[in-house]
Amino acid sequence: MNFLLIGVLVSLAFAGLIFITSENIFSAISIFLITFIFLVFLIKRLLDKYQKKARRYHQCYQFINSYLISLSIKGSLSAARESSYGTADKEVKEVMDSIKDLDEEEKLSYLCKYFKFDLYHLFLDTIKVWREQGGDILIMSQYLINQVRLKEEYLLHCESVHRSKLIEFFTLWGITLTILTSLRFALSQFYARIIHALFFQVAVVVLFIFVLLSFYIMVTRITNVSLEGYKDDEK
Amino acid sequence: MMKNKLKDTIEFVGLSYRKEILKIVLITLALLLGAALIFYFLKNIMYTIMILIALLVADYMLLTRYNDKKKMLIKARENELITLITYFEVYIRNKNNVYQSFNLLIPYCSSWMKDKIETLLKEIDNDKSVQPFVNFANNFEQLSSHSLLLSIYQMVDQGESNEQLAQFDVIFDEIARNRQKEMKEQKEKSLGNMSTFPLIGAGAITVTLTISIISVLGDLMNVI
Repeated sequence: MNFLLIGVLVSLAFAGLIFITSENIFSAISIFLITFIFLVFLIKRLLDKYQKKARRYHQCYQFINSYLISLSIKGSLSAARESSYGTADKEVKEVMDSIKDLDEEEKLSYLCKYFKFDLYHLFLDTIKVWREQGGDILIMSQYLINQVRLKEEYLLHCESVHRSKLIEFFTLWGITLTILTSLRFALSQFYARIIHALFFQVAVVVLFIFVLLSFYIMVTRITNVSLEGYKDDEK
Repeated sequence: MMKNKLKDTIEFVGLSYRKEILKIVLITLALLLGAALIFYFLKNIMYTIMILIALLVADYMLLTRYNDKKKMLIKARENELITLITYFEVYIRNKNNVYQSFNLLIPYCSSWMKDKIETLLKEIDNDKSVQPFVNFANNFEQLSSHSLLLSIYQMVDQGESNEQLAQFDVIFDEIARNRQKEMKEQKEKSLGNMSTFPLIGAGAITVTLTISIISVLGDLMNVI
C-alpha cells in the first residue's frame, strides 16, 4: 500500500516535471503511466525479493547462533530449539509452530526449506556429526559460526552502503531535474521557441526514460547480493 | 590470430561462435540499412551520421562483452572456490578426511565446479601425488588458489594433523579476509559508479538545450 502511494506520488512528480518542461500533456500522461508501471510492477518485485532474502539471512544468522550457543550450554536439541524459539522473530516462530509435531531432527531439517542457504545445510551437517560422534559443539562449529558472522557483516555493510549511495543518487538526479525545470523559467524567451521543436520534445521524454533506466540499474545492483544457496526465484 | 582469440573467448563463456558472429553481422547490417534508408528518403546527413556512430558503439559493445563475461566468469569461479573451501574447512574440522570433505562439497557446487571436483577425486583415486591438486589448481588464475590447494595436499600427504590444519588456516584466513574486503569494495564501487548517470543526464540536458538554442538562433538569422 505504501509503495503504491509512493509509486503514484513519484509518477505524478515526473509527469508534473515533464509537463513543466515540455508543455505536452501526452508526454506527461505517457511518463506517468510508464513510471507507475515501472515502479509498482518491476521495482517493487525486485525490492520485495531482495528484502525477503536479506530478512531470511538475518533470521538464519540469529537462529544458528542462538541454537549453537544454547546447545553448548544445555546439551540437548530440544532445549536449544526452545531457546532459539525465544529469540526468533514472529515469522520464524510461525514456521516453528507449524512443525510442533515433528521430532527435533525433523524440525531442523524442515527449516532448511525456510532457510535456503548453504550455511544452514552446513549447520545441519555439523549437528548431525555432533549427534553421532559427540564433542564440544562450539569447537566443532567454530568455523561455521565465523562464516555465518562474516556473511552477516557483509550483508549489514551492503545495507549501509545501499542507503548512502541511494541518497547520493537521488540527490544528484534531483539537482539535475531541478536544473532542467528552472531553465524553463530562466530562458523563458528561448524556451517559448524551442519547446515546440520535435527534437526537444523527444529529448525530454528520452531523458526521463533514462532516469528510470538508471534507477533500474541501481536497484539491480543493490539487490545483487550473493547469499550462497538462496535462489531469487524461490518462494 | 585475433579471430582465434575471439572464438576462444566466446566458447569459454559457453556461447556458440557461429551464432554470436551471425548476431553481430545481422545487427550491423540492420543499422547500415537503417542509415542508408534515412539518407535516401530523408536526405538528412545528421541522422545518418548518428546511426553510423550508434553502429560503431553497438559493435564495440558487442565485441567487448565476451571479454567482460569471461573476466566475470573467472572471478565467479574463484569466488566459488573460496566459498567451497570455507565449507571444506568446516568439514575437515568435523573429523572428515580431505577426500570425504571434497565429496561433501559436491551438493554446493555449480555444474562447472562439480565436474572439476569429480575429476580431482577420480585423479586422487589413481594418483596419490600432488599432481591431481596441481591440475585442479590450474583451473584458477589466482596464485592463492595454488597455495591453498598445495596446503590441502600436504594434509593428505602428512595427515590431518593440528600443525597441518593450522598451516591451512593461516593461508585460508588471509584469502578469506582479502575476499571479504574485496567484496565490500566491489559493492561500493559498483554503486559509486551510479553517480555518473545523473552527470550524463546533466550533460544531455546541456547538449539538448545548446542544439535547440543554436537552431532557434539559426532560424532568427535566416529571417534577418
